[in-house]
Order: sequence, then C-alpha cells, then structure tokens
Amino acid sequence: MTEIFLATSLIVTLVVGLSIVLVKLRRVLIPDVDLLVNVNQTLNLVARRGDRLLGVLHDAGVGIPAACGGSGTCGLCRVTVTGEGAGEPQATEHGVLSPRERRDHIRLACQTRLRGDCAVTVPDDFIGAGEAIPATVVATRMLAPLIREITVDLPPDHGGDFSAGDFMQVIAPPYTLDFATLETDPAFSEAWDIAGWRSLKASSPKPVTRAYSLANRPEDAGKAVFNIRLAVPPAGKEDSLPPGLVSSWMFGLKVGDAIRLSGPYGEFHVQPTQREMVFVGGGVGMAPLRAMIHQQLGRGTHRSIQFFYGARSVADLFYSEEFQDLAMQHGNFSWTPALSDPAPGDRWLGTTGFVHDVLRRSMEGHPAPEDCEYYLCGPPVMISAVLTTLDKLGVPRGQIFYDDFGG
Amino acid sequence: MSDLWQLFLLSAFVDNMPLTLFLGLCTFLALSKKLEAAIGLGVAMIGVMGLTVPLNHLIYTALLAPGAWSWAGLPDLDMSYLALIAFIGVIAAVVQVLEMLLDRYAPAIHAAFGVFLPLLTVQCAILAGSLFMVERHYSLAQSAVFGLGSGTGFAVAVAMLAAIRTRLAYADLPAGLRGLGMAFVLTGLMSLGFSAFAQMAAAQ
Repeated sequence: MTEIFLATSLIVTLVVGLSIVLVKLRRVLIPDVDLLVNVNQTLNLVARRGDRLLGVLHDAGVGIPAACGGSGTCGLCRVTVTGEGAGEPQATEHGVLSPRERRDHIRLACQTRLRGDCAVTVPDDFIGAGEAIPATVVATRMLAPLIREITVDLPPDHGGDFSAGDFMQVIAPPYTLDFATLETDPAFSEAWDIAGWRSLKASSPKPVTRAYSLANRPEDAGKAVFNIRLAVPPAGKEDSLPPGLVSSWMFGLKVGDAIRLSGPYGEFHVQPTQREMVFVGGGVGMAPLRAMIHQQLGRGTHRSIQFFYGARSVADLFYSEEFQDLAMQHGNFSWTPALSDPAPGDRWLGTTGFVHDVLRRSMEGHPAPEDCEYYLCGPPVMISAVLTTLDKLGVPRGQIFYDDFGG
Repeated sequence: MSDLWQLFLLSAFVDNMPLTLFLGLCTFLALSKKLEAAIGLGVAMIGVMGLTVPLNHLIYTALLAPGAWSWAGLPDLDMSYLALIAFIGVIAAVVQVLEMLLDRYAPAIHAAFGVFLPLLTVQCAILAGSLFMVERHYSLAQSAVFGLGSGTGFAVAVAMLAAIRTRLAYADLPAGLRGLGMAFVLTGLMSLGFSAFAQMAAAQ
C-alpha cells in the first residue's frame, strides 16, 4: 500500500514539478505581449506572440486563400512580410518558396509564427474578401456515385465578378453526419450498397475550410456551381481513415440549407492569346474546365478547343450530353471522354485508356502540339502523367496551366 | 581522469548510437541532408544527452533505485520500474526548454529544426542513454561524461553523413537509390567503418 501511494505521488510530483518549471521558464523566455501587424499600410491589427499570421489575417477579414487548410503545401497564402516579427522561413516553406521569393521576404502566411511587429503586403482585393458570404443551396443533384453538383444562390452584391477557373472557399461548420441518412439518387444506390458507404460516419468538431472550383456556365450568373467529390476512404481502410471533412458535409447539404463561402480567388484562367486550346480533366477537375469552355464558347471564340476527360467507367462520367451538344453546336469544339476501366455493362464504344495516353495518341497526329495551350485540372497523379506526356511532345512549360487541387 | 576520458571515447566511437547500436536513426536520416542542420542537430543532441543522463541519474539514485528509500525505513522499496516514465518526462521537459532557448536566442537554428526538434522528445538514442546509465551502474560523473560522449558520437556521425550526402548531391546515382536509399547504404558503410573502433577497443 505504501509503495503504491509513494510511487503514484512520486510520479505525479515529478510531472507537475516539471510542468511548473516549464510554465515559469516560458513566461520568462517568451513574453506574452501584443504585437502590431500592419497590412498594406492601411490596416493595423493586434496579435499575440506565437500566433499564426494566416489566422490573424483571416480574423481581420483579409481573405488570403489557403486551399490546403494551413498545412504549408498549397502555397496559395504567399504574402510579403517585412520586419523582425516574421522570423526565419520554416523548413516547410523551403519546399514551396523559391530562393528568389525567400530573398524578397515572401512567406507562407500559414507557416509564419509572429515573433514581433511586422508589416504585411497582400494584394489589395484580398482585404475584405475573407468575410464569409452567407448563401443558400438552391439545387443539388448526383452526377456520379460520388460526385454531386451543388448550386448555391449568392447574395446580389457578390454574384457577378468572377472569371472562369476561379475557386471559392467553403467553410464547413462543426457537424456530425451519418451516411445512412444521405439521400442518394436511385440510379447510384446500387453502387452505394455494394461499396458499403452507407455505414460510414463523418464528423468535425471545429469549422474547416476547403477550396472548390466553380463550374459555372454563363447562364449561372448570380450563383455558384460546385462539383463535389465525396472523399471516401479506400476499400478496406474504412476503420482507420475518416471520410473527407468538408466534402462529406457538402454531400449532405439539401435545398434551402445555409452555406458560408469566401472568395472567389484564382490564377487558373484562359490566356488571352489566339492559340488552340487543349483541356485535359479527370474526376471533379471537370469544374473549372467546364466554366472555362462555356465561357469561351459563349463569347463566340474562334479558337479551336479540344476537351479530353478521363473517368473510370460510364457511371463516373458526367456532363457528357452537355458537351456532346456543345460539340454539335460549335464546329471548333471537340469532346473526347476516355474511360480507363469501362464496366462490361457500359457497352462503351468510345475511347478507352488513361487520359494521358489518349491525349498522346491524339496529339501525335497534330501538326504542332507545341503551339497549343494546355489547361489541366484533376488529381495530382493525372497532372503529373499529363505533364510527362506533354514534355515528350515538346510542349514548353509556359504553355501549360494547371490546377492540381492544391496538392 | 583517464578512466573518464576512456569512457568518453568509448561512448562516442565504440558504442556510437546511430552507427553501432542503430539507435535514433529517424532523426539521423531525416536531418542529414544539409550540413548546417546536421551540426545543429548534433549540438542539440550533445546538449540534451549531456543534461538528461546526469539529471536522470540523480532522480534514479535519489528516488527510484532499490534501497533509495532506506533512510525513511523502507529498505525493500524498489521503484525502478518507474524509471522509464520518469526519464521520458525529464527528456520531454529538457527538450521543451531547449526549444524555448533556441527560439529566443537562435531563431535561425530553431527554424532549421522545424518540426524535428519536438521529435527529439521521443528520440530513442536519448532515452537509451539514460537506460544504459541505469544498466551499467554509472556514477554521476560517469553518467555526465557518458551523456556528453554519446551526444558527441551522434553529432560526429550525423555531420559526417550530411557531408557525404552533400557531396553526393551531384553524383549520378541510379534512380532507385536517390535520397533515402543511398542514405541507408551510406549508413551501412559508415557503420562498417565504425566497427573498426570496436576491434581497437577489444585489442586493448
């Protein structure tokens, strides 16, 4: 008995003692004082030592995009920080920022822990852009077993001013969702039953943001159209990996639900040249490409447009009729869906193979593939395969534009 | 004195933590890409091991060792089973203090460490230092020397590996060996080299 008592109190005393020493030392070494952060020489913010710059800016309504949610991988939250408060670039930033950017005091806001006063420069239109726009879901429909189109009605003062290829950030509130309660389209119910996705559950204890590209057509003015792919864990890992935090929440949205957004942001746009355009997409990489193609054709462009889209089987292919109609109406637009693994029941007569192979076979017959412009959007694996293919075709990197989901 | 010096050499070279005992390999491989970071890690290892081993020695002999409570009339009390958890607590605290000191006085080194400094909390070589100290019944002076020696050995090894890897940056390696693959081969070769020290120690 004495031994148990003595051992317990000993360990408790030791741990508590060490903690007290640490807390005291922290107070001495890292004084907890208010710091001044000056943004574009107009806005003065007060922050605490050790705060992350991204959070400080977001709280003040400065809408720096951060597709990766602040983990230092997407590189979208680049800001110029000067002053002693910025500290040294972290190891995580070395992989994202070029030496030149580091010399120019460019930092990733999500990796910058404030140590003193500093001055921050951000593009002017970001100030105020971070204020969440309240909006309402007006339509949802399932396009594929795991892909849902969600149309959101934006308030009148936020409706018009974005260009095709932009994305918006969706702020998912804390929630819990049982997938058994999800309404699925009867056409895709079988796929859901077979894969067992109905037994999944998703929850998030705090608000999370993710970026989603807009799939708007010109007639969708005043609205925001998203293609949401539900990120389910790979088969067999259902117990260890949770489903996507924000995509699950988005998937559970119904007409009339409220949603908060910020943006739009983006640097993935059609270039104002006269070159032929080749769009290559996979999965929900459809979204920005659809917006760009509709915008270009809607403006009556004379540039030739080819669209290669990769999916696994017919069930994963969406907007197909829409692009077929466009190809019928516009002589300068062609649509090539490619299935990598068509199901026997699909009776697929179109192109098969991975989209980068289909692209290579097609462009090898092109007189000058190096004179075209390429717009890619899809999962990182697809992007890297297509980049390799284009490299072999002799296409300069400057004519390839892509969005790899912030990976 | 010569005994202590011998212990220092023994712990630094013959019982080299990463190359002979293969302890602490995660940080050893992860932080050996650049010489600067490797030297920083080495200094941190010397500091942490030089502090934690004698500190843990004090805690162990005063509180945990069999018979440590005989002054209170409890000569049979053996609380050495608490050593592991107490050592980890002390190491974690020392690493935290080190991190705060670096953050305050050497922000460049702190930034170079990035996420690796908190990882030293669970670095097996550091814990092994304290456990060896118990197993081998070192005195306070011996454990201080042993801690410093092991840290020095780690520092020398990681700096050497980093220097070699920096030189290999321009070598035309087969694709499969680039990066970690080559680091493992190098570690193996260096470990062969260090086994020569064991021969020398045995011959004496």
